Amino acid sequence: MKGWKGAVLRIDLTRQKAAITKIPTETLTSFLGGRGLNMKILYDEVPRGAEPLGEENLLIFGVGPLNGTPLGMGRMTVTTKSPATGYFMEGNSGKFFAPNIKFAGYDAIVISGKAKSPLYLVISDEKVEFRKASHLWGKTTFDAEKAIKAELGYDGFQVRVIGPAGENLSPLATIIGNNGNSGGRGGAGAVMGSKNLKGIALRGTGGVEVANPGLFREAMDEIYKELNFRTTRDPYVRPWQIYGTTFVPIVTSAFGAFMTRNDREGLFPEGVDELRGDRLQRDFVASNLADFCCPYASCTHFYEDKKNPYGALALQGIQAGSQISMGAMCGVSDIHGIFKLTEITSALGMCYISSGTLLAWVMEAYEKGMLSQEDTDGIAMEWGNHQSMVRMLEKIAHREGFGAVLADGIVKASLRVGKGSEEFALHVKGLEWTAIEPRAFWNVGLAYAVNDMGADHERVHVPYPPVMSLIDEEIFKKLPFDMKRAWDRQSPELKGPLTKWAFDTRAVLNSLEVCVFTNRGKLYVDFRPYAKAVTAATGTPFTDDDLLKIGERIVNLERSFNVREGAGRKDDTLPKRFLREPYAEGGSKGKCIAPEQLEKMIDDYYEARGWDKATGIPTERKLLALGLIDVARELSKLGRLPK
Amino acid sequence: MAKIECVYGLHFSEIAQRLRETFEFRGKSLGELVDFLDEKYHGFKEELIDPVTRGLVTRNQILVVRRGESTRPLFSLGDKIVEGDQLTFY
Repeated sequence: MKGWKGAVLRIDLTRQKAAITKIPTETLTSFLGGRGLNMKILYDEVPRGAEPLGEENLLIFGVGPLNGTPLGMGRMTVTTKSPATGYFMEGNSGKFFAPNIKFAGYDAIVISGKAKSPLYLVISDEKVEFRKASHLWGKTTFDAEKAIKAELGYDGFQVRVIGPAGENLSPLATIIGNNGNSGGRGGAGAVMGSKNLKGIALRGTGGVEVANPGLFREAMDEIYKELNFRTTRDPYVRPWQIYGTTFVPIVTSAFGAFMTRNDREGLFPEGVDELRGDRLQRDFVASNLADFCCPYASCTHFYEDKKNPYGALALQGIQAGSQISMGAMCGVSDIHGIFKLTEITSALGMCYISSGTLLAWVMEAYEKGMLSQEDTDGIAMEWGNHQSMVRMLEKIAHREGFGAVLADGIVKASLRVGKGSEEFALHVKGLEWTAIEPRAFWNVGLAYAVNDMGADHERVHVPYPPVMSLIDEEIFKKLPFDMKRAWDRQSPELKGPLTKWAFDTRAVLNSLEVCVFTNRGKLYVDFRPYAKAVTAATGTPFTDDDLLKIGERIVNLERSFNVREGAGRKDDTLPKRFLREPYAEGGSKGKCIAPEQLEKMIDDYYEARGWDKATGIPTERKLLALGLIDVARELSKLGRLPK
Repeated sequence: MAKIECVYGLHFSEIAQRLRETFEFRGKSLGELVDFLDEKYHGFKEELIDPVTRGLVTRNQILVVRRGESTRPLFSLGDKIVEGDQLTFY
């Protein structure tokens, strides 16, 4: 097979058996790979009502048809049923694990069952070993990764591990590798922990064959031309290439949307210059890091903070997520504190975005007297107090004292604390708030509300519009809405169709497993170069319209998974803060998404999707049109399809 | 004379060798501001102006926060600069 491998490695932890199964070609052409393929497997194989932390749940690592080629860029998707939301979750992460899945001969690795005692997997091409990991249980992600590599005696293995948070089944837990590279918001680390799986070491020695190298080269040239550092005409290409997402604070500040102190404020004047990307670049970046074949080459960095009062630190992982969630959201302006908080969350195997939002809620409750120092085990949870945050993160990961209350995530914690603190617990569907402000960017507000994962920013285009002049008019004409008008950032107009388009196109990128940060220049709207690339890689002809239809199919399947679990329009909403509390100052001041405006945008979104407006559920007609015949049949049988 | 603040994001902070500054500006348009900044910190024109069209290049962004208004991008050298503007270059 070209492009794809056509194979899934299935690992049953209960029986300690591994098997390789074939993937029907029709599945690959209908769902592409990565996020799409993972969702198809999850929908088909995880039964309705399965416990996220039970044996029936699957943990799936998937790659796409472009992984392992120079356009694959090291991305992969991890998918499972989320212990944070009870719905599905998928997280996209990078570096070198993904190409090694492909080089080992697979499009996905599916892990099922539960080991009797802790173990880790060693996968070398077709060979799978189950090794005891009791001696690694309790270790931080950094120490566990190091120990596994030492035991294997070969540094060339790619390793993904969980830390104490995953072992203790916190939905804040993610999966970590490459010294701090995280993936799996929504509790993928807890699912791994529930299976008694401490880590996975992987290496592949094969390659990836493309069907038409000449055409592939042509597609590569078209894509790389848009990303050329010297000739780019897109204002977001160079910042991403040089600073990665650390450039975000300067932009969000300009928009008055730098989410500060649990997002009560949109400006963080005492902190913005301390933690902005150009400052970090100058004072802390020791070297650039890149994903496999990343054309940006330096969007992540290796940082050294030699004078950190906690002790010298060397780490990767400072991104907008930690600048915002661990920094401004918690009022932390001390860059050394943010470095430490980023390091400790990675070490403990926690999502720094969800953890930061959770701690920001704790701090607001503490400030308002809803929590006392006695409640918080004697720890003063004051804004900006990173020492307290570090102590509390340790307690969360180990489920100690008040940490045990917080370890179950923001929804359960706020319900336990009560006293009205639920009102400012920022989440959607149980997933803690993330880095982009909805009052400043209403398309993002809608996208968070209707996002089947919850408050997740990776499934929607970030609020940096394309440069319209770079895009062919014929491409604009093909869109069923006016892209130029849709980008008015604080109006409900056209946000429904814009968000549908954004979700569908992101589903394509995440299923090809190309990096979404490289979706700039004309590529932002023009998917013909991607169609050419996947055609060249696989030998199966795809048009840009085919890709968008696949994206739509994936989003409908994802929605259907949640519908099967009971989801519907009732889940599609935003925290009250964004509907009733305008900012007092800055470039987005005075604006909220009024409840009726949100409902109107949601109506427009459902309409653009062809879903039932009353329930937010895909219609039978829509599912059948997308070829999701079995899904329509099952939802109909369950009485979940709208009349 | 207008008192304005300029925030130099990313590579502009290297050109200006500072992160931000507030100053009295004698001009009235973005074009005049670019001239002023280029004279002060050589490199603004090269970064911002297309040598052929003499207009703004699209590879950078200039945002303005004007009192009482939502942040918006500036697209033309003829755009006005007024008292209290905060401009961010990146």
